[in-house]
Amino acid sequence: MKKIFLLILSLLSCVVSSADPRGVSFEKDGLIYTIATEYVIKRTNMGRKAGDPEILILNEGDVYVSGCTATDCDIKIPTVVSFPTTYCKGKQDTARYNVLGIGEKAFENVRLNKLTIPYGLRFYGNQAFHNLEIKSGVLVVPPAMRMKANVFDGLKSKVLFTDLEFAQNKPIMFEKTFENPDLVPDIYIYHGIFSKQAEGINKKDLCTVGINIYNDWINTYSLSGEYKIKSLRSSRNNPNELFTFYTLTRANDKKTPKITIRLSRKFEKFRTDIDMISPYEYICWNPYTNKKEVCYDFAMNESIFRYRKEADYFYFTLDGKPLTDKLSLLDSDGRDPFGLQVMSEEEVKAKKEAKEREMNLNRKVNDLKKVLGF
Amino acid sequence: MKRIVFALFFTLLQSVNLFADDYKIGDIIRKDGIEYKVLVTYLVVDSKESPDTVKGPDSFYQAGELMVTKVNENLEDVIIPPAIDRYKVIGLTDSLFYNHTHNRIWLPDLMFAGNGCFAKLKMKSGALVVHGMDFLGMSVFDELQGDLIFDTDRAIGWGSSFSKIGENSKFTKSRPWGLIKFNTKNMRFIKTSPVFDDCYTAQGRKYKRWIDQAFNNESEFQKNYQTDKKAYLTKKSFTTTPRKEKKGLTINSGACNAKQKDPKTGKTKPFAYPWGRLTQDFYRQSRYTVVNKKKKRKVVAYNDFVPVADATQKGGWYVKFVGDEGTVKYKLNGNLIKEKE
Repeated sequence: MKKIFLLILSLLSCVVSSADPRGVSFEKDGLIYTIATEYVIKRTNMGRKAGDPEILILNEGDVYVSGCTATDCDIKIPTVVSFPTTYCKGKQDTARYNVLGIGEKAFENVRLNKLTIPYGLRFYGNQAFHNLEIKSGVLVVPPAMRMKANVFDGLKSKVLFTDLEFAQNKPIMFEKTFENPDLVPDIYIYHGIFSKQAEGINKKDLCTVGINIYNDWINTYSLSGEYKIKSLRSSRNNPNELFTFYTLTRANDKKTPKITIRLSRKFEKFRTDIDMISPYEYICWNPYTNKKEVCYDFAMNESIFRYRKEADYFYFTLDGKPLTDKLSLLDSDGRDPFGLQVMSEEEVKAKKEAKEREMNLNRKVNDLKKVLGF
Repeated sequence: MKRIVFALFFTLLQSVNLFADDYKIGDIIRKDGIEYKVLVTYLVVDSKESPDTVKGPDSFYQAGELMVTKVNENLEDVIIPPAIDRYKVIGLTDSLFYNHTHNRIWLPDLMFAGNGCFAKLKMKSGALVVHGMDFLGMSVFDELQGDLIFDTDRAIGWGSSFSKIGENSKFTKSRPWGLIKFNTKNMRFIKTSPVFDDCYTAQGRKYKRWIDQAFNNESEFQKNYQTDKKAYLTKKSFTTTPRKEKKGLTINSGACNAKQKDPKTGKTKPFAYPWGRLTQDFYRQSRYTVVNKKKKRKVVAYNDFVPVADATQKGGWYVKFVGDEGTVKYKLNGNLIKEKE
């Protein structure tokens, strides 16, 4: 029932275009993902071929695994998942989402042959693996920055905590993770580095294994490429960092003031799981209007950019000049160039008719004036 | 009335085990389906007596060390006590449990387990729990059918216990079929062990669960050590005069590995444990170290000790030791008794 509901929800999300896609779920390869945040970002087109653009405007975002529809099969949680976006349809309508964590009860009452979890996740939600059954017998769990309450309660397999020392720079936050010791399965770590790994954990809650058993479990129950992913993730841009980009036409013009847009985290509570992921806001300084605005739903293409402030959407040229005639930007369905449903079809029709009537009226008045000799 | 007094006196004496049998080295003791071999004997005083009350030769009792040589295969549960009367169980012979099937086995702290001692043993409870163990023979846990839990709080002499023996041997592997488990708290004792990289550890509630499962969750079975400990009432250190006096001898009795003389170097060195071949002729021998209170720093070791009743001596007795240098007799005050020529 839950799966059907989520499916319907994800289908609806495709139909109803929403400016803020957070909380919208979609399913891919047996896993249900929920979008935690989505943003537009400018990246240099690395390794481009002749004729390719130098700069890419990409849709990126963060998702977390919120459910699993598969059963009795091998599931690998990816580090990155691509899916058609509903947020900003430009040239690219597929967004690239980083998988940030595993949501609350994501794998509740699921039975799988094997579950592979990537390195570098940010959180495991409350009861993330509640009553999960792993037929292979061992679940390899890389560390996450936050381990919420009762993550392993009712899990029907051994757990191997790997590479806890990898997260040493930012200590792992255990939030009542082992609150019900009777429901927690045997959780193992490598006992060669017990003192390092066990920081912040009640040692009595953990068992240890020798390096031979550890390696055997890693090779058997995890994918060999996991270590590569780990290093890959560590070299990637950290989404928490601020970054700046400039409008395309003025990027190389040093004399002209540039429009600067900074993507920064916004601290707002949205849902239980999302509150661990920082949503984004844009700080836009426009030298044309000489104003600094904090805005949302930023979108950009080769000629204009858009943002939302409170309930209203504003459109600008890449020089920063405001576009007051919004109606001319909309298509017949009432969508803006970025695919956002700004008005309904009827509303657009009515407004266009009203505008046309006004224009006709003005024309007639002008004609009359000419005839009368004013 | 006399009978009652006698009965009470008898009960009192029995409670401190004064009527324990004396054995010769090599004797076999049979009890509860288990056979023990006497490896060595030595004299001790009863632990309930203070050193000041050692009045004469009658205060001494025979104690010793035993090795388990046979266990009845039909025993469902095997309980090897830490001691039989005043004789301490120190080891298990070669292949003691070879190819046996038992539900549970309770072992005391031991000094050694012989070659292949637990080889091919099938544990119905699922695990064998080994407490303290100073030395292990070869392939001790070869193909043990169950988990192996080392419930030890001291370093173990691993020897070749986990090494593979030659193909012609009946021991083809060196490891149990099950898991090898330790208490995490005692990990420092196994850091150099051959099983460190292949073992599991736990502590607290989780470790207790392992132990409980090994004994089928019967706490009484685990308490054998506490109940049998009372049987081992011996005191190995005593003095010939009250402790406060600055004269007399302090004697420590016990046993050690017998030494052999190296024909090349002429030096003596202890025999290695021969495991199942331990006999009176080799390997274990009684050892008494004597400290003369007048010469405190000087410690002399002897192989034999005889308290001798002699009315001509002060206190009515003297002590005689036999060592490498012959027989030495001491008065109770620590002075040597010179033989009249």
